[in-house]
Amino acid sequence: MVKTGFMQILLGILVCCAAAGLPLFVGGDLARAGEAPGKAPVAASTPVAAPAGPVAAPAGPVAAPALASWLESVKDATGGIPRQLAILRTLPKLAGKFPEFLPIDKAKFDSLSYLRVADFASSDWDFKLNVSKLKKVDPFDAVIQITGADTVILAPEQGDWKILRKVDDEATVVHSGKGPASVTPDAIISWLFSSFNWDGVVLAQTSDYLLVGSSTAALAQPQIQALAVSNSEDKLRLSAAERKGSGLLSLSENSGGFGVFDIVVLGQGVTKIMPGTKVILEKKK
Amino acid sequence: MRFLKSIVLLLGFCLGPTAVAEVIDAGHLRIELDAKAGRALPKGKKKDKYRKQWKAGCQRLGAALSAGKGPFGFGAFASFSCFRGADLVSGSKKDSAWLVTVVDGKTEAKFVLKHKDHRGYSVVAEYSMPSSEFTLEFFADDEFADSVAYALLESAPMGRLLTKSDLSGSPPQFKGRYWRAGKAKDFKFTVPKSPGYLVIYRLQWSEAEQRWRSDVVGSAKRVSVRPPKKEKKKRGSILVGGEVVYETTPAVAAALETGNLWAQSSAGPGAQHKATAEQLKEAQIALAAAAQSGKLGDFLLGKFDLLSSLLSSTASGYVGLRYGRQVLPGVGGLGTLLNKTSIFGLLVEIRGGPAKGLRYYYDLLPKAKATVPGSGGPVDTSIQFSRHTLGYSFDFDPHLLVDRVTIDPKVGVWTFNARLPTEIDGDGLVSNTANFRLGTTVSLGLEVGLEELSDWYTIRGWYGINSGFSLLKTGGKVTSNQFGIDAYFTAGPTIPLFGVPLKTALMAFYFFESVNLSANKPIGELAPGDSNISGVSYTVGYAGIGAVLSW
Repeated sequence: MVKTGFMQILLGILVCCAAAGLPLFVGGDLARAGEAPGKAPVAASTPVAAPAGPVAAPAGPVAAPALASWLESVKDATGGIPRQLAILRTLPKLAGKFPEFLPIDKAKFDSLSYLRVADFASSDWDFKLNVSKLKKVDPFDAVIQITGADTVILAPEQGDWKILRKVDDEATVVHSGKGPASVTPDAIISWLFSSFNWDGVVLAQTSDYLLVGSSTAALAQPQIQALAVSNSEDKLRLSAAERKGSGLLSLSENSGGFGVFDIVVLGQGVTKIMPGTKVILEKKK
Repeated sequence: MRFLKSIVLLLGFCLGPTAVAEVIDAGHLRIELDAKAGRALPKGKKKDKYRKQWKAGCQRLGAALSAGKGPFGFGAFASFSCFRGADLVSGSKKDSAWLVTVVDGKTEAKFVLKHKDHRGYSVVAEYSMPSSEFTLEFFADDEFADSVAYALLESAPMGRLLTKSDLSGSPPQFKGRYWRAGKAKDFKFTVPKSPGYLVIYRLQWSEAEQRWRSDVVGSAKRVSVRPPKKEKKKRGSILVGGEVVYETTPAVAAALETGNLWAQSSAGPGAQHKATAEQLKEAQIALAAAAQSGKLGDFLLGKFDLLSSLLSSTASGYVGLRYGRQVLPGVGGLGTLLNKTSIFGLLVEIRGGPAKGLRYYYDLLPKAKATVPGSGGPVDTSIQFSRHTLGYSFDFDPHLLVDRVTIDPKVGVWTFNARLPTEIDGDGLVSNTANFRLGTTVSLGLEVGLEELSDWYTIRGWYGINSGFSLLKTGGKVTSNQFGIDAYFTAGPTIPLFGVPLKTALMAFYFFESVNLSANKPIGELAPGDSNISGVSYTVGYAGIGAVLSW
């Protein structure tokens, strides 16, 4: 089901183009949502030519799922989607040594985006409660086991911050760079999305609707437009060259760091937007 | 039927064990005297006394482990039952996820806190101290009961329960009682400091992960400590009262509105394990010394001071005397000489106090002479030695096959003098002899023993090596490899001597010894007809009996 009018689509694409600062849709033609590959191709160099008049969704009118129940159904999603963070001051190398967690206001941090941070006090205490069980466990693995984090931020007082994830059973630095100016939840969230080089991530798709995790502030803008980035579902961090669109989205509902987006149009050959696909939001002034 | 079984199996596989996290609240505790691992029950009247001591001791330990009733307000259990093995002694038989096992063992006493899930029991905290036949009597002392309870609670994932009714005032505060001195006018052992900070949290056990999971809601800071005061009684004075006060935050008060919380030292469970274990050992040494002197009652009343107790403990020990004769069949002239040898041994061991483990050995082989037929007529041969050795015994329980492993490094002085046949001719007659006069040698040794213990016997297998290095100009070395078996039977009477009960025991032993004498230069003074040789070896086996006194 496509709800958005032609002018709105055109405007949205132009804004996304400007926001992303890259040649949008190059190598990724757009098709209407649900349309078969190869049908109604759009010239690569031309901004999307939306169909004249309203276009019915192939599957018929399907209502968007209730946001709360949808969130519940995908809460344990894993893969290329960073969801649960552990933020550390130090990460020792020797088994049996414990990490130092960055003291951070969990409630405030969790309210700022779809990302959740492990409570530093409980995590630190869990290490002490399970000291005998963790004596021989690699410290990175121990952090993962204790906090349930899929992504670990190593935030030393001096030196670069690092984003680590488990890749092929090894702790791998997926990004390293200068940390934020302060260690407030707002500054860390900004630093994270800036380091990822994307604004949101697709958590699930139902019919023409996408459940997207992003920052609370960005999703607070009504009917914001967004671009789904092609072949990005397994990438934690995007390079400038990788920010190519595979679909245009429009926000229809939001709650905190979660939003339901309508699929406005999909790129040529794209029939489904995979969970984990990264999203770039239009930058409204 | 087979189909039904498959369905049941499949369902079982899909559902798995109940892996839901267990919310930890103050539950029921089972306290059990381990009847299998413990010492054999005494017989007759002593058996009844032992059972009564356990019942009373368990009550005191259980009370000190109960929520809010332990030292510094610690305590984690809503109720408790006492068992002797599978037999209920007091309380109810209701099921419990928590178990304290008391092992009154032959070599050590152990206190173990265990938690049970669908996979079985896992050890949460464990303390051990030297064995004493009076261990259960020690629980008559509140101070000892507090020591054991605090040791277990300090190492547990939850130290004390915090309920809504515990909090009062603004900012909110809560209290706990101070350490108890029992019936004494002062503390008899080192009293640990109450934790300066507490972490306050909710607790779960995740069976699937085999991990404790917490939700920390706040912390508390110790703001005051009021030690107990002396109160006059008919027969002297005792320490009473005393409390520790903690201040917490309104967030903790708010969290208590929705349920009870746990508190534990912010250093973490078991952070003080080493210090706590030392304190327990200190208490055990003093109590055991007092009990062995028959003055436990006085000690608990504070009328038997710790110094005397420690001195008494240092004096506790063991003296063994033994005599054995060479029993291996000897061949030739050397065999004839060795068959005439016998050995005396003395062993003194300090078994308590700071010098525990120190050993003194004296071995004497009195001069044995033999005139043996030689190529040129009868030949005189002789052998004698004495050895003074100081050793230190390290021991541990390997929890496998034997009850105790001992390792004793030794240093000593070994005097060895002998005139031994060194060659025989074709007719089996001694054709050469040599003097082996090593004079005084410095002796180094090591002994390893494996012991199987029971109430009335000890079987000990051992291996020892001793090397003596001669201080004479000629140099020289004597090396002895021994292995043997000792059997002690503690069946003798107990004899009181100056107020100290002396226990008697008998022993039997056998050991095999291989002696190797060597030198860089020809050994000793050459007599006319002596051979200029540089070494000789012989083997002997001694069997004998002995008597042992211990106190």
